[in-house]
Amino acid sequence: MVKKRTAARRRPQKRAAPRKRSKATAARARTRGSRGPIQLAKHALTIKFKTESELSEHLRGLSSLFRASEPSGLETAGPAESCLSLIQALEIVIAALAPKAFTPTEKLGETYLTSQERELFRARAVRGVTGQGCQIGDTSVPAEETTTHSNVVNAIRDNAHA
Amino acid sequence: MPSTVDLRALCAAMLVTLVAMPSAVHAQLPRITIDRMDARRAAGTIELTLGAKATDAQKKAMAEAQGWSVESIETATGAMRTLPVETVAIHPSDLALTLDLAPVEEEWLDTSTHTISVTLLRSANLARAVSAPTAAVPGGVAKRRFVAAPTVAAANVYFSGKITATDNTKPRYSVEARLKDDWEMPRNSGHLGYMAEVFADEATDADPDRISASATYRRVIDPRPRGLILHAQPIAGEFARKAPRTTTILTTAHVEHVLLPTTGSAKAKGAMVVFGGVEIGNNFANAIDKDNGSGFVTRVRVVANPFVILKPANGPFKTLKGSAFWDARFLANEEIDPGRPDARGLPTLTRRARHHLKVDLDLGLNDFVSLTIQHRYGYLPPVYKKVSPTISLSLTFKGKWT
Repeated sequence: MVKKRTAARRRPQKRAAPRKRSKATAARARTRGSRGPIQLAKHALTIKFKTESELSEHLRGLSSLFRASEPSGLETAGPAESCLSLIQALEIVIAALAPKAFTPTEKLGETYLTSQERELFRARAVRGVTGQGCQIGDTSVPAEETTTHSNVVNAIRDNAHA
Repeated sequence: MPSTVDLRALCAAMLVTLVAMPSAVHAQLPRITIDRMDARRAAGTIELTLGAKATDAQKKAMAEAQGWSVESIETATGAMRTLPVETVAIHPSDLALTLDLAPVEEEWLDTSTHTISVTLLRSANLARAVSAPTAAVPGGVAKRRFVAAPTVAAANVYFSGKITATDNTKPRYSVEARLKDDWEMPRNSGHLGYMAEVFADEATDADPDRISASATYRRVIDPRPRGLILHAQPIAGEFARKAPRTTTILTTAHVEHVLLPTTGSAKAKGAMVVFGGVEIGNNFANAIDKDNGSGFVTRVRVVANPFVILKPANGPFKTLKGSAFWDARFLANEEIDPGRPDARGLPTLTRRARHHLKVDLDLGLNDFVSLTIQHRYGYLPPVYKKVSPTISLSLTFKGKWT
C-alpha cells in the first residue's frame, strides 16, 4: 500500500488547465472548504475568526454570495434615478407642510383634519415638484389620512419625472 | 443546507450587531432608522433621510466622514467595492444627510445592478441602510382601494338612514345617500367626475323625494394653507319626484376656502371651511306652473362648515365628530316657496333667502359606521319644503376610494 502511494506521487496525472473562476464562484468554494475560516455543513455554518474586523470581512464575503434577485425582504432593486434628489423631495414636502412641522412618521390625517387641507397640501407638493423643473401627476402624490410625511417624500422621489 | 434567504438575512443581522458592538456609549440615545437611502450616480453622492430628528450627539457622530462605511456589491458577480466618504452634509431639518463620496465610476452607484449598504460604524443607534429599502411599495401610492372616510364631505359613498315606527302608523323612512367619484385630468388641469344624491324626508316608503345629479369639476386655484378650491358643476339637475313635482337644471360654480386650518391637540382638533358661489339655471316645472316652471334661476350660495373631532382615550366610541353645515341661498329670481302659501294653501313664488342647517354628532363605532345624532332645519332646493327642527338618531356609513 505504501509503495503504491509513492508511485502515485511520482507519476502525476495530466491536469486540465485551471479554469478562471468568478469571484462569486471563488467565494462559494471558500465557504465549502472544510479547512477555511467558513465551514458550511449540511445544517450548520461555522465562521472562525480572530478579530472583529476579520469576522466582519467574512460576513461581507458571505453576503456577496446572495444576489438581490433572490426573493428577500432585506434588499430590492431600486427604481430608476428620479428627476429629483431625495433631499430636494424632502425640501418640497417640508415647504408644502409649512407652517406645520415635518415629522416623518406623522400621518396627514393628524396634521390636517379636513380633506380640503390635504388637497391643498397635495397641490403645494405638486407645485414644488414642477418648480424644480420636473413633472408629477396629482394622483402620484398620496395625501390620504393614513399617509405619513415620509411616504410623501418617497412618492415624490419615485414618481417625479422630467 | 439553510435556505439562502435565511442565510443572507442572518449575515446582515450579524453584521449590524457587529458594527453596533463598539458603540455601547451611544446605547442610551434613541435609535434612529434610516427611512430611505438614494444613490445619486451623476453627483457621486448618497442621500439618506432619517425616521426622526437626530440628537446633537448623533449629529456629531454622523458628521464624521470616517465613521461611515459604504459598500457597493455588484449583484450579478458579487464583486464588492468600498466607497470612501469624503464629506458629510447634514440637512438643516436634521432629517436628512448627504454623503459625498470619493470619485468613483457611476456604475457602482447604480442600484439596479448593485446593492449598496451604508453603515454608521460609530453608532448603534442608527440603523444600517441597504439600497432602496422602500421599493417594496413603489412610489408610496397604494392601489386604488375602498377605505373609511373621515367626514361626510370627503366620502365617495355616504348613506345615512333611519326608520321611525309608531303605533297604528306605517313606518317612516328618512334617507340621505351620496355617490361621487372623480378622475385626474391630464397636465394637472383638475379632476372631472360625477355626483348623485338622493333624499327621502320622513316618507312612508323608501322612494327618494329629492334627487340631484351632476357632472363635477374640481381644481385647486390657490394651494396655500388657507387656499381656494374651485368646484364647478357644468350641468346639474335637481328633481323632486313627489308633488309638487319640480325640475331645475343648473350650472354652478363655488369656491371653497379653508377659513380656519386645523388647530388643537392630538385628542381634540377643529377646523372650519367656508364656500361661496353662484348657481345659474332654469326651472322647468314646479307646483304652480307644471309646464313652464318659474324660468330663469340665479342664486348666490354661502356655506360655513365648522367641525371638531375628539378622540376619547376610553369608552365605547372610537371618535366623536361634531359638524355643522349652514347653507344659505340668496335668490335673484323668484322661486317656489311652500313656506309662504296663498289663501288657497298653494305655494307662492318669492325671493326670500333660504337657509338650511345640518348638525351631526357622529359617535364612531368603527372607521366606517357610526351612530349619528342629527338635527335638520330649513329649506333645500328644488322644492324648498320646510324641514322642521328635528333631532334623530341614525346609522351612518362613510367610505371612499383612495
